[in-house]
Amino acid sequence: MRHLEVCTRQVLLTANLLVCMIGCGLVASGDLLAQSPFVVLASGLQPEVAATVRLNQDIEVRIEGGALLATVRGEQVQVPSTEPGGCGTFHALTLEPTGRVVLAAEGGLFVLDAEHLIADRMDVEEDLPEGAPLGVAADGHNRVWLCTSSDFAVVDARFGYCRTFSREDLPPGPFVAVHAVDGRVLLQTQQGWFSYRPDQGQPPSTVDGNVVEDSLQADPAGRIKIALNVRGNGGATLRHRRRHHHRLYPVRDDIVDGLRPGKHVVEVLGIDRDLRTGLVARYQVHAPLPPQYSVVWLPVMAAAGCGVLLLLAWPRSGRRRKTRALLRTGVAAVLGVQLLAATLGYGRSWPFVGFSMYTENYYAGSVLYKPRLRGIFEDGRIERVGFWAAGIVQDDAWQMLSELAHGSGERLQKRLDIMNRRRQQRGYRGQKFVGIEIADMRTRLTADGPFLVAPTIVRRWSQR
Amino acid sequence: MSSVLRRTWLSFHRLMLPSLPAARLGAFRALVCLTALYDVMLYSPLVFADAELVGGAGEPRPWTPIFLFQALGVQPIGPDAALIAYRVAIVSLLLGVLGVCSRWSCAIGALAFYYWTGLAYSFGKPHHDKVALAFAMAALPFARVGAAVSIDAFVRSKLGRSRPIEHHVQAMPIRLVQATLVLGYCGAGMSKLLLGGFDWFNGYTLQGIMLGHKGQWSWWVGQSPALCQFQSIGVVTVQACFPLVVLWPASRWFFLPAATGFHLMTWMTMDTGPYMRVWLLLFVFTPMERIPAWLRQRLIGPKVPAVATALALVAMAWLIGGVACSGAPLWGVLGLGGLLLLSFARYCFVHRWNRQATADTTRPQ
Repeated sequence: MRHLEVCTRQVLLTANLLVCMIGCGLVASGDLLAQSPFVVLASGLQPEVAATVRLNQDIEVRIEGGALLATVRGEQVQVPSTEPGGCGTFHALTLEPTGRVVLAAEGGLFVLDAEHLIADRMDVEEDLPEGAPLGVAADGHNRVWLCTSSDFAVVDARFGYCRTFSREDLPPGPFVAVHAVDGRVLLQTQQGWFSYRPDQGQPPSTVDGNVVEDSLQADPAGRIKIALNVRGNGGATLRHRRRHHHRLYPVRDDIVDGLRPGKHVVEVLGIDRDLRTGLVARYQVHAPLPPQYSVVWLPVMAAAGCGVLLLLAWPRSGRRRKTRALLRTGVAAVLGVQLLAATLGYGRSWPFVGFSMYTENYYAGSVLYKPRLRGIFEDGRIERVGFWAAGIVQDDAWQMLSELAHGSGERLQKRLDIMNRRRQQRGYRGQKFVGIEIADMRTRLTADGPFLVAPTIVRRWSQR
Repeated sequence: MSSVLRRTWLSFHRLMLPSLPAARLGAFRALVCLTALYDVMLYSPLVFADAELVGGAGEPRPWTPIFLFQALGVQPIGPDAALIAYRVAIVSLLLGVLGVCSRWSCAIGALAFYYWTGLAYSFGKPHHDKVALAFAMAALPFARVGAAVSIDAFVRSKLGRSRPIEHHVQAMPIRLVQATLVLGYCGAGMSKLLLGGFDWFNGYTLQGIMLGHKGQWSWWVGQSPALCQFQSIGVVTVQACFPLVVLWPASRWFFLPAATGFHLMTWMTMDTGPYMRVWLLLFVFTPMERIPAWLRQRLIGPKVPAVATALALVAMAWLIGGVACSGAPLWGVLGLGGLLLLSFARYCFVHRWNRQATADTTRPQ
């Protein structure tokens, strides 16, 4: 299989090279062919990288002299930002299919959209390549490709993880701009344009091609050790997701961590250089309660403690000594356990609870998130749908939304049917929803007050 | 050593197992059972929805049982079993409110309340808003909660066995709930100080908490970090200093309205819900059996305080009634309101609507 992949790549590279040679007579070096998935782009095919994007009928955004300007209903305005020191010089911008604009500026990557015309730092989970992004391009697969003068990387627009290409895979720099078109990513260097075609070959999988299914017991710290042999273009990295959680967390040193007591389904995904994902393992994990919360020993210890307390509380004289002793013991034990719970803070031991809620600190620059479910109409209009109105029983919104965010089209179709049925039951007539959008709304805290900023569209799906 | 131990237990006994007027305990029972009834009704759509899904109507939420359920091996139930549990809870709590077989109805009501809450929490997240209510329900059967303000007491008095209104009874449930509320508020305040540290007061933290939950007023109240900083100090002061209600009873005039105001503000700014299950229980810090006399005295007194009292009463009735309607049926809320009004009118009639009759009934305790 590996041999076949290498051969396929060689054939593709050679074909691409021939096209280039015929087109403009450029000759790529043998070294470049052997090492890089990039091929030289014919001069006739070189793109014009637009510095203007139109968000809707009324709003257009453009970069002019390093500044970000917008034209709103014919009136020109400078686009503000939530960065305390400003974003710096703007270099490039790109429009995602979701309607969000990603901006490459001296200070990093920023986003805005038509409803939130304010540049705000894009959520990127891992460090971007060092240096200012100079070029940025969105494709139709929730990816944002970017380059700095010396690096080329790709960011997942929904979950914010990124992958920087190794230098050996890249053409010689320095790089100037990026453009995405027709399933290809074009990288401009000072030597000219190079073309990269992502998503070639098979998506990441285990070496034998099977999805590993296993049952595991987590250690007391809520971790499991996994051993997977995964392949993918450019080498695969691993991330895991717990069912009913939407985030994809990295697997570091073959350890999946952060598992709270209880039963979990953990899915491990392989991710290749182009951020294509493939399910490589699914584990049924039982994370035991910490020893202090053992369902056997805790009641036994509590009973023993109550016994000792009862002996101590037994009155030496007076009437109804047994009742008095039992009441004293009971009340003292309840108060004692309340105090203990207040310090330990294990929420599921209700009604003995801790008080660590709302103790997380926020600062200027912090972002607040709020997931939203929206319905998409035939004409493209989008309307917010309450969770109950969508038949979703929830306490924590992502608990159920995550399965829609990562689920199959069939699952989304079922939810869409429920949404339309309930909408009809509530007396709405007219257009039906034809799609679902799951958005993570964002609010940025700043010294000038809070700002609603461009949300992250986690999934947008429309029925065929 | 043994004498120290004996004295310690005696002090503990006096503090936590005191003798208080039976009428206060009876009123407390009615209040707790009513609050639990409202809670069971409020949670019923959630529990029934989960039960429907367990019954095969769709994909159920993940079952992560609370520790109590884990220890007892309790499993999720379908819609039929849920309906039975609901009926048991409603009937037993109604009987608890009325004081029919008071201790037994409270005991069954407590079990049903725990089961109902456990089902909801095991499919979702446990919350803090009914911790005090849970301890109150658990404690009621361990005191003579039907000694007054109950049909039990009425029947007994008709049979000529006793005159319960004059009795004092062991009132452990009242003290336990007071201790739970004090611990809860103080714990919430102290954890912000200890875990959040000084940064908790930077204004952004409260702003983030408010805006992260998106209540109706969040955007307006949370606009200014400076204003949020001021509010942070106020919130933690009220919470951390709440134990003063026990040490310095006069401070209740400040802390009880402040705590209620705090919950109403979090409702508007954090979309927490009204938290009525907590602030209704704050009545546990008041001599409830004296409220009718106090009200009567205020209403027949000078005009300005009388009007202010009447307006406050109407506002409170509107608030409680409005919130209760979110869980309970309107006819139930109106019926209960009418019953309370009639009881008060009868009380005023029995004690004659005049100024002299109030001479020694309003001394604060």
